[in-house]
Amino acid sequence: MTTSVAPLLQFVGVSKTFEAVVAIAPLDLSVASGDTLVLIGPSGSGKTTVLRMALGLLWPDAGQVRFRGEVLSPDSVQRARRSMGYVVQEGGLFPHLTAGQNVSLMARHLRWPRTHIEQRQAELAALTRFPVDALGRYPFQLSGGQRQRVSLMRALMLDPDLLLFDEPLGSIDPLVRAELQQDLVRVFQQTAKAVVLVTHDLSEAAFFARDDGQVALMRQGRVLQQGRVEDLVRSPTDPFITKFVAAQPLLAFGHAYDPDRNSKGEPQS
Amino acid sequence: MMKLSGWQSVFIVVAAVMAGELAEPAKARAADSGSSPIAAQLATGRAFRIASKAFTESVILGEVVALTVSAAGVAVERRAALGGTRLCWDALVAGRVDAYPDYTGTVLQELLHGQGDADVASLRAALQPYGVGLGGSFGFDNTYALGMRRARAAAAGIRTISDLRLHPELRFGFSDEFRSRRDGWPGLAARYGLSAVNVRGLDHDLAYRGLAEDHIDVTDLYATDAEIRRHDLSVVTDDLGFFPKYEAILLYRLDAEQRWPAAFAALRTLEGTIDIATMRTMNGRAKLDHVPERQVAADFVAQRGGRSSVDPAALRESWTGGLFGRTREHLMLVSLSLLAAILVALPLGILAARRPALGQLVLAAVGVLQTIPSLALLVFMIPLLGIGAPPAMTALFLYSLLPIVRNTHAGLVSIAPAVRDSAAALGLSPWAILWRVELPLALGTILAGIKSAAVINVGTATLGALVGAGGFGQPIFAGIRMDDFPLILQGAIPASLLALAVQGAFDLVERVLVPSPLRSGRRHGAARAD
Repeated sequence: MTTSVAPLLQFVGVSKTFEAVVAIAPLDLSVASGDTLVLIGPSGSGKTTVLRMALGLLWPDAGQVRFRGEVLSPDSVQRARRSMGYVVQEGGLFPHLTAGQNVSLMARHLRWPRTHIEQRQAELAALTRFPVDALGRYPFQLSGGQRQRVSLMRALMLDPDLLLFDEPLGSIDPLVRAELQQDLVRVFQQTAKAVVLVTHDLSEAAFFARDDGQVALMRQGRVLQQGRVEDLVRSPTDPFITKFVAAQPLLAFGHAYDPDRNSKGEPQS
Repeated sequence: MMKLSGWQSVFIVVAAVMAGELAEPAKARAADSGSSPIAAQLATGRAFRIASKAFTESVILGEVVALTVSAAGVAVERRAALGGTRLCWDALVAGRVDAYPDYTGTVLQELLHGQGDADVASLRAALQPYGVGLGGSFGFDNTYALGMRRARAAAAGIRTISDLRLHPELRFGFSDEFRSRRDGWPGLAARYGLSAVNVRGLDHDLAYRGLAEDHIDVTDLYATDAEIRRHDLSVVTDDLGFFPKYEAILLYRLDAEQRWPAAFAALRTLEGTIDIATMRTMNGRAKLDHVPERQVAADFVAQRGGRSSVDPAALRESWTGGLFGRTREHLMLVSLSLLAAILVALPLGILAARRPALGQLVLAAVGVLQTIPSLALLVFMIPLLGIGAPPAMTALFLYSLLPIVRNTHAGLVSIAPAVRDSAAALGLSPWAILWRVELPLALGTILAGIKSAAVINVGTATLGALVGAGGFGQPIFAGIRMDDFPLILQGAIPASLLALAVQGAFDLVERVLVPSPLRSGRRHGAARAD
């Protein structure tokens, strides 16, 4: 097998069961370098489980998760994680460290030279539009949006190949959310990294996937349909997709959000 | 050749040291034969260790012995008020002390189980197999007696112990030793057919207060007690002659007699020099006039020697000097035990957090340790570790485990899963996550556990004085013994201040080590992201 043609992240027949409840039915997924894949679906559809298995925080019961063509195993996972960036809903920042220390923790652990760390931090602060003078603040002194920017900086610090987002804007208020969405897409474009992003919000999915991105709609541990957002809207392959789309009125593509709609307007499955 | 891992070699070294420790009495016994010149050399290197039981008269006698031996040019180490009969005897037989004053009746009843005769010669023969010698009487017989307030005895018409049979309503308050000894209450009740139901145990020195304040009617006395006159007590006559003779004598190790012949020559001149009136006067000075026991003993020795008096300043430790020494002893007890507890409890707490099933077991085990009463734990330690600082430190160490293990565990399991996942997702190893994220986040909680262990230890360490570990407990227990409230305060106040200082020091450490967002009141940051 030649790794040059292998996808960056690949799920081959992966399944996972939690205490007799099927979380992931046999699942195949593939993300190439520079790709954007948005996982969408109702709560409990297995989106987050996919991300956690990609990071090796969970292990599949059957099948393989491959990163850069190599099967992820407890031995290889630490090295693989250093080529991934992970951002969770409320940032998962370390409360005992300042924003700057959060961002630089791994670099300091790897004994990067200090000047190198500072330079990289400044670069990332500019990229994510985070005020440099706020790097000395602790997470509890930052707004929700700022915390997500710090989390993004932390994920980007080691210049990973793959970024994994788990509802990154889930608890951000609508105005800040719009701004962050724009910034995130800009960062994706500028850094040209592969992105897997989890959301339950169709308009958000549409926004992130607007430039050649793929959307995969999940339900009960399976991908019901994967393709462009337009495909899901115009030619759904499953009645559930029709229902899901109907429950979340989409504005014209390119619009970030619908201010009239409750951000928690989650469809019932 | 067999190769040893690091742990194996540590274990072997520890085992070897322990074996050496246990073999010490045997070695000492071997040295007694005096055949080896090395043994003789060793003997001169060590001080003559003199103990006394934990009541005023014994402390005074012990001090008289110590001063006499010291005057004979032999270095002396004092273990004043070491404990009860059994503890002193065990320490003597084990070679941890060389001599202590006791009484013939006690030796017969308590140590020889009442078998044989109470005269000095037969006791001496009976003690020989233990490697213990028995000196001649100091000159008085401090037998047991029962005492009542004069007015109460007159009202009830009680003059002899036989009269007590007619008064089952009387309230008896006996010292714990008297209540449990064969030559005390059990034997007395059997001999006289007494069937009192109202018997309770209390400290001998507190019994007088109980009598005076009418909480009890009858208590056990010693014939030399100074309080008999002070509280106007009447001694109830032992009309059946139950109480054996209690000639005051010195018990000593036979090997000590060979090691320090000069000391024993001087001690023999003491025999027969203390009559009952002298002893009662000395007890009175110590207990009623609050003259330190060392001073009372020194005055007696000086008088015998024909000198007018001994310079009191030379004998009495200066108040601040004593305070300094006790503070140092106390701090040593607390800090060493705490340090050892941190080294053991921290890994245990981490293990408990990592392995929930094992964690329950660990938490339950250290919880059980905490339920053992501190006095009992101290006494359990004596056969294992002897007397002095080691048993006290071990007990304090065991008590410190629970708060530290529990808080380490609690601090670690309260960390939000999202924070732990984020750390793992960075590619940190489990050890690096522990070191860089989990322990810093739990640090405030862990420090709080260490702080409460330290503060509790400062208080519990006062009990160390009961097993000869020194510290602030010494003046507290001496004060209780001598009914000397100011002396109690000399231990109690510094102990409280030390507890406050320890608390303050830990607050300071917390401020330096724990980043501001994690200090008390701002902790939700850790638990929020999920």
